[in-house]
Amino acid sequence: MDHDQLEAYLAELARALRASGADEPAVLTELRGHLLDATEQAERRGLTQSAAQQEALARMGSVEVVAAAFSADRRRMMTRWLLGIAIVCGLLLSYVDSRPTWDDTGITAGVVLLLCGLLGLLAPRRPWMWALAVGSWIPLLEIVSTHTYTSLLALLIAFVGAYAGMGVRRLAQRA
Amino acid sequence: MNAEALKGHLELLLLAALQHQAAHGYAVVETLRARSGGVFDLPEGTIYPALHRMERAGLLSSAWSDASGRRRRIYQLTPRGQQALAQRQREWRQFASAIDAVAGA
Repeated sequence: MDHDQLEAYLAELARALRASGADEPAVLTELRGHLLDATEQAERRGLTQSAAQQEALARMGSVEVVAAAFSADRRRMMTRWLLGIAIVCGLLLSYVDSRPTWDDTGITAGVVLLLCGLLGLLAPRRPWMWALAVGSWIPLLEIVSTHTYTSLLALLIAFVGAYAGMGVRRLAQRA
Repeated sequence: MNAEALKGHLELLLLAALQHQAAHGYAVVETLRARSGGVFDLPEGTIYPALHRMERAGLLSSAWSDASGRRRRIYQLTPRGQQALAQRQREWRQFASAIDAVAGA
């Protein structure tokens, strides 16, 4: 049996999934089984093989739609992981920054800037979230412990870093 | 029916489709289409990310089966999935009756 249309669709989908970083051979195996079942079913209803394949592909959805559904799912998962990492890093930074033996504010600011920039670059949809997750702990701890507000600058630096990361990503996407 | 309108309820529908028996993706789609009288006609490829996500969340388990030279991934509800289905069915009934009370009057 000739499954040219199905294989062409799957090859295109594989490319789209790879491009979005969601490539999984098991996904293609699963979708191939689905398409073969759908084709078989349509043929039983009297369609020619070619028409049955076209119907199966139409029902599956365009490559763009299916790839977008998989990459959206992957993005959600990655965002959750990154948020956890960002919060842990933010807490660690605020702990280090609060130590009496630590007096290098420049390094703290640099790490906040770089970390938020990296997060904004990796996941540019919500830069504000990375800024808050990393940069809010230092001022929070200082406000609670010393009632001073100068370290709110860390939050500002976090926002600058996250939005700069997002900007670099957007520029790279356009290029 | 607009696929967007289904999105928020997709997990409930998938859980319900797998309530009585384990099934592969195509069979799940066919169940949804048959039970809804053809109203739920979403791009079939988009149910797979949802099935995978639900498996990661422990609501479903899956196993590969080879039959007639074809590999299929068979999904079934886990005990947690059964609980989630019961809860979502309750929430849905409450929501639907509230909507009906307001909009159906």
